[in-house]
Amino acid sequence: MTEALQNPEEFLPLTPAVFNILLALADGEKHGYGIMLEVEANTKGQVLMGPGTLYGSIKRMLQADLIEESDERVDPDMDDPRRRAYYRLTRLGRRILRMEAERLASQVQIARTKNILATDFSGGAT
Amino acid sequence: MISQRVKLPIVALSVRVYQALLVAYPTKFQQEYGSDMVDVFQDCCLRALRQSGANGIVKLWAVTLLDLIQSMVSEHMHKETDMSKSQLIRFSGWALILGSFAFVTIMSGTDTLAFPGSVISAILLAVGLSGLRARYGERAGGFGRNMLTAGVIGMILFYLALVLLIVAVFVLPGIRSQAESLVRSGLWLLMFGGPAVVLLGLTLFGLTALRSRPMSRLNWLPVVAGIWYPLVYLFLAAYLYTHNGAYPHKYHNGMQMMFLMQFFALCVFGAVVAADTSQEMTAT
Repeated sequence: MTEALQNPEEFLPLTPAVFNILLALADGEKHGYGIMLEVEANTKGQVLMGPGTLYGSIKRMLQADLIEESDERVDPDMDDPRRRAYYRLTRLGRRILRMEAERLASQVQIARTKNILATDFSGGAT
Repeated sequence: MISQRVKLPIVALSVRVYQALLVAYPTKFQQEYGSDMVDVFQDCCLRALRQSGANGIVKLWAVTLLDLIQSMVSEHMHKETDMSKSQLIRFSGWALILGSFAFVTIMSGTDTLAFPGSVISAILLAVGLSGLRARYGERAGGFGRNMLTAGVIGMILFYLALVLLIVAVFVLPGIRSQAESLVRSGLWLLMFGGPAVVLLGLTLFGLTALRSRPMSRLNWLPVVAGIWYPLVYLFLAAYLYTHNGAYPHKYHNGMQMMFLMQFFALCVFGAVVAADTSQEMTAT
């Protein structure tokens, strides 16, 4: 499946797992455990993905051409000689991530116009 | 699969138990991702132990068991969906060919042969269309995909209407006597409308295929394979309506020619789909 053959709109809205995995890969390739740590950190521990959900999502995202496997190598930041499979975003994956982020931002904008949120996020909800 | 560095018994035991639990997943998923999942679980165990000791491991197991059950159910459901989809795709070409042979019975002119042939043909063609949808739906875009769906649903609605009309005729004989010719032509239209609706769906899918080119070759073929019978059917429906149910004998030969065109084009299309499917399945 190539980007040209897909209608990106059909991917939206993304599931929280898929959105968070794409977001975790937005600034560079990562292995499975790295993705899990990043998702946990990005969501302040609210989204806890076990290995089953993580690799089930990865499998479907590979099939949908949202991510691709780059290579297998040792993580230099971990004191562990195991080789790990690294994943990265495809062009389609990055596009879908941007579209979903824009969709969520427009929802937030609506919430703001209805005075559900403070004008800026620094103070949290009013 | 357990890293040689893991000497901590609680972690080693946890990893072994988790590894054993992976048999609950579909075999293919296990083979592809089982080793990575065990590695990630082992990393999680080490971190939990480092941060919270044995309590951390207990908490991790609670989260992991829940995840295991959810993802195991999800993977088995996806596996079933993938299997039925691939079977449908595999059979679609043959369903179109068999449907075209059943379709020929409509030309026989005897209702006892033509009517069951029409129903069987419509069902087989609907199976073929469902296979096409599963295989080319994404690439054909929303309209093409919806037309294939509409062809199948339209056929079902046609036969439901036919059943209702037959029931009405038997339950309320007054209808038959009051407007016999209209009821007769209505029955005829519904009896032989199933394949027309399915083929109309194929034709409309074919029109979008000219632009979106979902097939690897001969993207003009779906239109050619679908258009003949719907045209004959629409003509006949209009003729019966405007001539009080009388059959257009003077156009009989022309219509028979279009029936034959329909049969041949559908056969060729079915053969192309079957050949391409077989080639793609072998390649994958």
